[in-house]
Amino acid sequence: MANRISLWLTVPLAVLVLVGGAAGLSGWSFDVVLPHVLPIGGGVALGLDRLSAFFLVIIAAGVLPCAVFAFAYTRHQKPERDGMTAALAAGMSLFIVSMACLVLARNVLTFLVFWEAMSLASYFLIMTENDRSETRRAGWLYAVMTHAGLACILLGFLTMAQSSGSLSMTAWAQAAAAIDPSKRNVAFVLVAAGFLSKAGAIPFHIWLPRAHPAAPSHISAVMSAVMIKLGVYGLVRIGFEWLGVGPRWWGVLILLIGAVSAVAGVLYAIIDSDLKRLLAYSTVENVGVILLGIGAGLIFHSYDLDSLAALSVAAALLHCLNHTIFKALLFLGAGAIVHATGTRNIEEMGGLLRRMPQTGALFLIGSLAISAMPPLNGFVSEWLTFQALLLSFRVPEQFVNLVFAIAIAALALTAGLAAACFVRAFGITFLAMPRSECVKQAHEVPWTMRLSMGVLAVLAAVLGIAPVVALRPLGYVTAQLLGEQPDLAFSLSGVVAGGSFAAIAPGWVGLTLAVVIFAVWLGFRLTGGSLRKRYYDTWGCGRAVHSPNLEYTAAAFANPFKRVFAFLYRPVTAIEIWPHGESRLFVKTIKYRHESRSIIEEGIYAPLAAAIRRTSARIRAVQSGNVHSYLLYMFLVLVVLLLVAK
Amino acid sequence: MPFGKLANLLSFLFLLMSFLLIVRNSLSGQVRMFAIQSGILAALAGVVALFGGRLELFGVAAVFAIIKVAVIPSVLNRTVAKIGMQRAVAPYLGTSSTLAVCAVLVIIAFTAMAPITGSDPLPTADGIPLAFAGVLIGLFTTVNRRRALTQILGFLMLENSIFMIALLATYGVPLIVEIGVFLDVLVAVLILEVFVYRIKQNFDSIDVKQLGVLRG
Amino acid sequence: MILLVQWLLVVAGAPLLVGFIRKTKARLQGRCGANLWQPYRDLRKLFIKEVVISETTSWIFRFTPYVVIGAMLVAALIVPVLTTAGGALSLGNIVLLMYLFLLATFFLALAGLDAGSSFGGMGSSREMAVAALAEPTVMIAIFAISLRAGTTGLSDMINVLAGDRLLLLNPGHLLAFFSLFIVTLAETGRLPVDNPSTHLELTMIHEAMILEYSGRYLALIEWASAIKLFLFFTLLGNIFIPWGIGRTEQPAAVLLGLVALVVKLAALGVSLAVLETSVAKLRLFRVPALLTGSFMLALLAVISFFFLR
Repeated sequence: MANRISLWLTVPLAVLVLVGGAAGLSGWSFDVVLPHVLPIGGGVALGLDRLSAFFLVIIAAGVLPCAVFAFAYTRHQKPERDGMTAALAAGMSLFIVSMACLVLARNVLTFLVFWEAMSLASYFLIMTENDRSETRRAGWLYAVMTHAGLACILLGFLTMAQSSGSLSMTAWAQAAAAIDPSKRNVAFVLVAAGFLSKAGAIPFHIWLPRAHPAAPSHISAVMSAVMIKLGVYGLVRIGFEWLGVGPRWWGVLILLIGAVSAVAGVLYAIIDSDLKRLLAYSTVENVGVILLGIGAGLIFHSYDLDSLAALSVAAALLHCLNHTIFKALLFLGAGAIVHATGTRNIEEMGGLLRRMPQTGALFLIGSLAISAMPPLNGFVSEWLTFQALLLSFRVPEQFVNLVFAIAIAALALTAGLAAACFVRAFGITFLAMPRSECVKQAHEVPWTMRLSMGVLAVLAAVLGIAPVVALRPLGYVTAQLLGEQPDLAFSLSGVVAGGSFAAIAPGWVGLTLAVVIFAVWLGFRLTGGSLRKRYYDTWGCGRAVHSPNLEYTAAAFANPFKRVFAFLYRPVTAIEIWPHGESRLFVKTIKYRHESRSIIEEGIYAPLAAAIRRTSARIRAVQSGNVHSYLLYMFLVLVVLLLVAK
Repeated sequence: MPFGKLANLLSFLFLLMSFLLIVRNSLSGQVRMFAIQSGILAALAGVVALFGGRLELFGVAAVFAIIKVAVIPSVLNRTVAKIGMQRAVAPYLGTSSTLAVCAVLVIIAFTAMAPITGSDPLPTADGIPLAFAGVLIGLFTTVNRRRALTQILGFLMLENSIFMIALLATYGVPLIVEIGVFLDVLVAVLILEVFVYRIKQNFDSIDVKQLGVLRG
Repeated sequence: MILLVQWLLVVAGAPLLVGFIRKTKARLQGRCGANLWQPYRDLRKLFIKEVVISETTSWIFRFTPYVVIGAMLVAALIVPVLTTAGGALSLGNIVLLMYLFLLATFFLALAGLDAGSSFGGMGSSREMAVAALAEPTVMIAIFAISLRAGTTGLSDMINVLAGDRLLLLNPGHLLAFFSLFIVTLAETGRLPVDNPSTHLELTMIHEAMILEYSGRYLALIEWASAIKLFLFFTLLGNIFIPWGIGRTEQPAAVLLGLVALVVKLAALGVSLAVLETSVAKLRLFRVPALLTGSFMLALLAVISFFFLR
C-alpha cells in the first residue's frame, strides 16, 4: 500500500520535471523573484535557462525509472516497514523537488536553501535501513562531508557577494571583470571544493563508497545518477558564468583532479567485491571523465578558444546524461540481483544469466555502455572527450600541452581499466556456475523492475546510435553559456569535430556491425556445414568433477591489477598456518589475508579526524558541568565586552 | 632542411640508448648500449662536420669512434669477464618507476634549456635539451644502480652528453681540449677498471651498498 | 567497388600473412615449416568439425565469435589498405578502430569466464590487464601522429603525412612507430608478450581465453585474430611509411597500392618473425614494464613535436 503512494507521488513529480526540462530546452525560459516567501537576502529567485533545463532532463531521466523500480522493490517488505516506506516516499518527493529547484535557483539564499534540503532528504533516504550499524556510519559520514561542502560553498558565495555587493549570481557575472582576481580565485577554490565533494571527486569522495552500498538500490541509483550531477552543475556555473573568465590554472586544477579521480576511481572499483561499492567507485571514475571535459573547457575558455571550450563542455555534459542513464541501469540491475539473491558480494554469485536472463541482458547493456563500447552511448561521450583533449594542440603554450597529454593518457588508461572492471563485474556475477546456495535459488524479478531497466537500456542504445538527439540541445546550451556553438557538425547519422579533425558515424557503425553479424550467422545457416553441437563438460585437465570451486574468483581476476598498481593499494598481506598436532609438515588450516588500504583515507582523513578529536577533547574541558564556572564565564565575557565596546 | 632533422634524429637515438642502458640488467648488454651510443655520437660529429663545415670534427669523430666505440668498451668487457658471475642486484627503483623518472627528467631538461635553445641560431640547437636530458639521465644512472660498473657507465654517458651539448651548441670545442678530455677519460676508465676488479676480489661483490660498512 | 575489393583482400589475405610469418619463423629456426597456405586448410578443417560446447556456458559463449568477427570485419572496412580515396568507409577515425578492437577483447574475456574453468578466467584477467595497460600508449601515439597530420581520420592522415618528404627523419615519427609496434605485439598476442603457439595453459594469455572453443566458432576467432594482425600491420605500414598507397581510384594507383602493401607486410612480417625467434616470452609481470617503456617512447614522440618545431 505504502509503495503505491510512493509511486503516485514520485512519478508525477518526475514527469513534471521532465516536461519543464523539455520546455526549457526548446527555448522557453522564465525568471521569477518571490521576495515575500523569504524576507531576507532578496527572497526566492528562480529562473529557467537552457543549462538548467538540461539538468532538469537529467534529473527526470534518473528519477523516473527509479521511482517505477521502487514500487516492486519495496512491495515485499515486512508490514512493520510500511511506515518507513511512506517516509521514503516523502523523502523521495522532497529530494526531487529540492533538486529541481536547485537548478532553477538564481540567488545565493535560494541555492543554499535547496542545497541543504537536498542534502537532508538524501541523508534520510540513505538512513532508510538504519537498523544496521554500517548504514548509520555511512549516513553520519555523508552528513559531515555534505555539510563541510556546504560550509565551503557558503564561504565562497559570501566572498563573491561581498566583492560584488549583490546576492544574485547574475549580478556577479556582470560585475566579474571589475572584481579583484585574488578574491575570485579564493571564491573559485572554496566553491569548487564544495561542489567537488558533492560530485564525489578525489580526494572528497570518501562518503560515496560508504553511502551507496548502505542505501536501498533505487536510492543509490538516484544519488549516483542524479545528485552527483548537481555538483557538476555547480562547477559549470561557477567556472563559466558566475565568476567570469578565470585564469588557466582553474582549468588545469580541475583537469588534474579529473585525471586522478578517473584513474584512482576505476582502480578501486576493479578490486572491490561488493557489487554496489564497485558501482560507487565507478561513479567516481565517471565523474573524473566529466571533470576532464570541464577542465579542458575552462582552459580553452581562458585562452579565448571558445568553440573548443564549447566542444569540451558539450562532451562533459553529454557524459553527464549518458552516465545518468547507464549508472541508473546498473544500480537498478544490482538492486534486482540483491532482491533475488539477498547478497551483494559478487564472490558468492555466478550463473545468474540462466536464472535471470532479462536482468542479465540489461546489465550487460549497462556494462557495455559504461565501458564505452560502440555503438552505445558511453562511447559517443568518451569519444567526444578524447577529441576535445586531442584538439588541445591549438593552445599555444607547451606546459598546457603537456598537461593535456597526461590527461589523454589518464583517460585512455581509465577506458581500458573500466572495460576490465565490468568484464569482471558482469562475468563473475552472471556467467559460469553459482558459487553459493542462495544464488542457486535466484529467480527473475517482477516486470516493473525489468521495465524500468529496459527503458534505460533503450535510451542508452538510442543515444548511442543517434547522439544528435542530445547534441543539438547541448549546442544551444553552450551557446548560451559560452556564446558559441561547439566545434561540431552533426547530422542524423554522424558527428564531425574540430573541422576535419575527427569524424564518426555511430549509427552507421551500429548498423554495419549488426548487418555483418547477421550475415555471418545467416551464412552458416544457409551453407549447412556441420550444425552439430555436442554439449559436454568444460576442459579441466582430466579431473573427475567440475565444481564451482574451480571457477575463477573475482579476487583472482583482479590480481594482475593488484600487482601492477600496488603503489596505490599498499596491500597488507598476512599468512597464518596451523599445522596438525603430530607433525609440522601436515597443514590443517591456512589463513591468507590480503587487504588493500585506501591511502587517501589513511593519509588525509585519518590524521585530520585525529587532530579534530584531540582539539575537541581539549576544548571539552571548558564544559566542566560546574555551574559556578559557567557563571564565571558569563561574568568575564560581560567585562570584556564592556571594555571593548568603550 | 635535412641537416637539422638528421641532427635531431641522431640526438633522439642517443637519448633512446641512454634509456635502454638504464633499464637493462646485464652488464655486457649495458656496455653494448654504451658502445652503440658512442657510435651514434661519432656519426653525429661526422654529420656536423659535413654540413657545418668544420673539417677538424672529422678527426674528432674518428678519435671518438676509436676510443669510445672500440677501446673503452673492450676494456669494460674485459672487466666484466674478469668479474665473472655475480648475483643479480636490483636497482633502487623498479623498471617502470625508472622510466617514469627518466620521462620527468626529459621534461625538466626541455623546460630548463628552452631559453638557450630559443636564442641559439644554429640549426642543431634543437637537440641541446636532449643532450642535457642525457646528462641528467647519466647522473640518475649513477644514483639508481648499485653495481660499480654501471655507475662507471653512467659517468661515461654523462661525459658523452656533455660532449654532445658542446657539439650541438657551438659545433664542438677546440681540438686540443677534446683530445685532452679523451685522454683523461681513457686513463680514468683504465684506473677504475683495476679498482673494480680489486673491489670484487676483496668484497666478493661490486654492489656499492656493501661499501657502506666503511663508516666512522 | 574498390571498397569491396579491399575488404575481400583483408579478409582473404589475413591467413596468408599468418602463414608467411610462421614459415619465416620456421626457416629462421632451421625447420622446413608448414606450407604457406596451411592456415587456410586449418580454417577449412575447423569449419566442418563438430562443435563441442560446455554445459556451464550461456548464450554469451555462442554469441562472442560472431561479435569478434563482426568487429574485425567492420574494422577492415574503415582502414585504408590499397587507396585512400573511396577505399574505406568513413565510419569513424582511428579512435573508433581502437575501440572496435577493445569490443572484441571485451566479449572474448566474457567468453573466457563463461566456461567456468580456471584457465579461461586466467586468460581473461591477463588479457584485460594487458589491453588496459596498452591503451595509454595507443592514445598518446595517436596524439603524436595527429599533431603531425592535423587530423585523426585515417585516409586524411595518410594523405597529409605522405606530403612530407623528410618524414622518416622525424624522431617523433619513428618513436611513435616503435611504440605502436610494441602495442601491436601486445594486442595481437605475439612474443615477447604472449606465445601464440604455446600449449602450456599457465603461459597462455590469448589462447587460454579461447580454450573451450571448437569447430566453426574457433575458426571464426582464429580468422578474426589473423585479420587483427593484418590490420595492425597495414596501419603501421600505411601510416608510418605512407608512400605507395593509392591516392585515387584509378586501377593503376590501386595496383601500385597492392604492390606497396605486399612489400610493407612482407617487411613487417619478416621483422616480427626475426623478433619472435630472438626473444623469449616475458614473465607476465614484466609485461607492464615493457608497456611502460612503449608509453615513454610515445610520450617522447609527443614532446618532440611540441618542443622541436
